[in-house]
Amino acid sequence: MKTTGCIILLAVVAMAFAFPAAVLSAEKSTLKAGIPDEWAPWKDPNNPNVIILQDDKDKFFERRERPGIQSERRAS
Amino acid sequence: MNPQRYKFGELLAGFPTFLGAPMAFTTEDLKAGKVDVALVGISIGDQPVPGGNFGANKMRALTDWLAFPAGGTNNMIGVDYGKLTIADYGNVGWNFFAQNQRNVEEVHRVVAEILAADTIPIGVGGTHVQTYGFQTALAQKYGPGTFVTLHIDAHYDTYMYGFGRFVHNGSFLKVAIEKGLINGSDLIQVGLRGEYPDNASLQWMREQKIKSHYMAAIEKKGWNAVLKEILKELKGRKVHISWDMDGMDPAAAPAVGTQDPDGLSAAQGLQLLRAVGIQNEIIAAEFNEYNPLLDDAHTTTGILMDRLIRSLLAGVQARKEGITDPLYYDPERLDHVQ
Amino acid sequence: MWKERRTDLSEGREPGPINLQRYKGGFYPSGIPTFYRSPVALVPEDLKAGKVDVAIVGAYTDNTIAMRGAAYGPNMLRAMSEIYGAWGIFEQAHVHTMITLGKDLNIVDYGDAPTEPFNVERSIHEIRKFIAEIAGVKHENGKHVIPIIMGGDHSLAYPDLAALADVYGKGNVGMIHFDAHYDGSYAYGVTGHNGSFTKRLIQEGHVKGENYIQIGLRGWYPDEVTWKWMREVGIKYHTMGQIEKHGWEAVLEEVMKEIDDGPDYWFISFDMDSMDPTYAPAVGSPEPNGLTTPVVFRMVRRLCAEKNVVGMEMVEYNPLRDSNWMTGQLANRIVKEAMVGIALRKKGITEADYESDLTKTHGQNKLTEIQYLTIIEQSEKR
Repeated sequence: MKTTGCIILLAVVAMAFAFPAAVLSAEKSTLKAGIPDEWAPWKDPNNPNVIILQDDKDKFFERRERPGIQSERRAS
Repeated sequence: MNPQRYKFGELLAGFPTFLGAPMAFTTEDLKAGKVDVALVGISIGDQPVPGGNFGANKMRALTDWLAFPAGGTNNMIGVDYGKLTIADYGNVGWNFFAQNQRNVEEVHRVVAEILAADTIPIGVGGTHVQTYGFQTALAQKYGPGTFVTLHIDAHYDTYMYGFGRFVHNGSFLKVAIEKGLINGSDLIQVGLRGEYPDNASLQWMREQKIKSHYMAAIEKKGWNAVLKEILKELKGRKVHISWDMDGMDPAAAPAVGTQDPDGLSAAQGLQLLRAVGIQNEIIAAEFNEYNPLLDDAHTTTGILMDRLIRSLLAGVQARKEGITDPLYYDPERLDHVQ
Repeated sequence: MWKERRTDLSEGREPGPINLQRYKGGFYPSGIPTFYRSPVALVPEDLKAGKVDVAIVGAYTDNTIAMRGAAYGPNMLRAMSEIYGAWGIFEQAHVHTMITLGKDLNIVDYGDAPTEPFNVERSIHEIRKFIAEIAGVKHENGKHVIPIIMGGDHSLAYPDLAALADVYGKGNVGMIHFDAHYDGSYAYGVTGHNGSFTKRLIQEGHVKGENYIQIGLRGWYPDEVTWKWMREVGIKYHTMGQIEKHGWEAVLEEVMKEIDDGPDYWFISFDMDSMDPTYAPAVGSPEPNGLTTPVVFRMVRRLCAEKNVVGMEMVEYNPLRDSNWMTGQLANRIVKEAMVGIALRKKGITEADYESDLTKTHGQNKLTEIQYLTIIEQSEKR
C-alpha cells in the first residue's frame, strides 16, 4: 500500500513537471517589454505566460537505486 | 520628492529612505533633478536561507546614528559625497510566488528606467540573481561586451544551469557570458574561496578568460599587490559592480545566508570601492545577499553595507573633483603635523 | 536645527496625501517603508484636503531609566515589523469585523515629530505643538484628525495628552493608560522622563485625576505613600491582580462604565510593557505576568469603537531587544486593532462588542438552533 501511495505521489509530481510551464499573470502581455528574448532563455516568444524549464528540472526528485544498501563510494 | 519635514536630523528620525535621500519615482524625476546616483531597493530572495527580501527596507531603517541628508566627508580622501545628487528610487516590485527569472525582468525594467536618465543605479538588498537584470539593462544601453563586471563574492557563480532554471543564484554569470552580455575576460572576480569551483568549472572559467582573484592570491601576494592588479585590469573601462556581502569576512558581515570564513576585511572592501570609484567610470552597482534576519544586533552587516555604498559614492565624487590617483589619501588625514 | 522645517514642503503640488509607492500593492518586504505603507502627509493642509481620519506620527524620545533604544522604534515599525501581510490592492479584511483599513479609513504617515536627542525636556514642548497641529485639523463634519503616535519612550505621554488638552480643552480629555507601571514618579528630581507623566499631567491639570484609568499595573512599585496619593487624586487603577481575580471581561466592563461617567474625549496610552514579556519581550522595562494578546486586541478594538477615542500612542517598543521582530509585529497589530475600532465608529457601528455575523460563527448549526427553540416552546407549553 505504501509503495502505491508513493507511486501516486510521484505521478502527481511528475505530472506537475510534465508541462514545462508555470502559468502566471495574464497581464504580462500588456507590460513594458522586459529583457529581450535572445537574452532570456526561459521565455517562449510565442507564449508569454510560459516559463521554459531547463532540462535538469527533476534532479531533486531523483532517487538512489537501492536506498540503504547501495555503496556511498563514488566511482573515481 | 523629499518626504523629510526637517532640514537636518539623525537617521533614526524622518522617513526611512536610503541614506536619508529624497525620493524619485520616474525617469523624468531623475532628469529634472539632475540626479547622479539613484539607490533602488530590491527584495527578490533566491537564497537557500530566506530573509534577503527584507534587506532593502532594513537598509532604509538602519539602526545607525548618522545624520541625513545624504552626505558626509569620507575620512580617507576628504571628499564630501553629499555634493552628488542622490535619490532613493523606491523598490523593484517582487512577485513572491513567481519564478525569480520573472522577477529579474522587473529589475531590468526599473534599472533601464534609471539608466535612461543617465543616472547611476545602485541596487540595495535582494539576492545575487538580480545581477542578470542589471547586466541585460546595461547591455541594452551601452551594448553587449562594452563594460566590466567587478564581482566581489566568496563564490564563483558560474555554476551550470540546473534544477529547471537557466538563471539562478549560482549560474547568472555563466548565462551572461554565454549570451554575450559581457565578455569572459571582462568578468573580474575578487574574494573567491571555499570548496568550489570544481575542476570542470575551473576549466570552463579558464577558457572564458575570467579574471578571478582568489583569497589564495590575496594571502600569498598580499592585498596591496592584488588591488594594484585589479585596478590595472579595470583601467579605462566602464564598470558595473556586483557586490555579494558574503565576499566579506563573516566577522565583518555575518548576516549572509552563505557564509564562508576568511574573506575580505572591511578595510579592504572600503578601499577597493573607493579606488574603483576614483579610477573608473561607474555605470551601475549593486550590493546584495544581505539577510537582516541573521544580522548581529540587527545592524552589524547593514552598517558595513551602508558604509561600502558611501565609500563608493565618495570615490565617484572624488573622480568628479579631478582626483585621479585611486590610492589617493587626504594629506591632512595622514599626519597631524603638530 | 533639529526642529527647523523645510520651507518648500507644499511647493509645486496640490495639498493632499502623497503616495510614495511605485506599485499598486505588494507584500510587506517590498514597498517604501511608511507606517502600513500609507501615503505621506507633510503639512496640516494635506490632512484637511485628504479628509484624513488617522495621522500616524513617529516620535523618538529615549529617556528611560531602564534599557534605552526605543528611539529606533518608529522607523523599525515602518520598515521591519510586518513579516507577512499585504498592502495596497492586496490588503485583506480584518477577520472579526470585515474592516479593510486601507478602504474604510483614511490613514496617513505624517512623518516624525521634532525630537532632540539629548534633552527630552526640550523635545516635549515641540512634540506637544506638533501633535496639537494634527489634532487641531477639523473636517467639515466636525471631526478632528486622530493622531496615533509611535514611540519612542513613554515620556511622550506628557506632550501627547497635553496637546489633545490644548485642542479639546484642559481637563476635557480622559486617559486610558495601559502599563505595568504607574509612571507617576519624579525620580532623581526629573519631571520629564518615561515614568513621570502621570503625576505631571494631573498636577498641571491637563487631565483630572478621576479621569485617569490605568490597566495592567503589577510588579514592585510604587510605595504605599504613592498608592495613597493615587487614591487621593482619584486615579482609577486596575491592577493585574484585579484582572486575575475577576477576569478581564469584568474589568473591561468596569472601565467602560468609568469612561461613560467621564469626559467626552479619551486618549489611549499603550505601553508595550503592559503586555506579558512572553508576547512582548522587546521593551525597555519588561515585567512578568502581564496582559495577553486576545485580551488586549479586544480591549483596544472595543474602546476605539464604542468610546470617543481622539488619540493614541504606542510606546516603549525597543527594537534593540527585539531578536526576531516579534514585539514589533505585535505593536503594529495592536495599533491596527485600534484603527479597526476607529473605522467601525466611523461607519456608525458602536454596539457593544461588535463582530461580523460572517465570522462570529460558521452558521452551520441551524438544526441545533431549531431543536433548541422547540425545547423552549415545549417548556413554555408546560
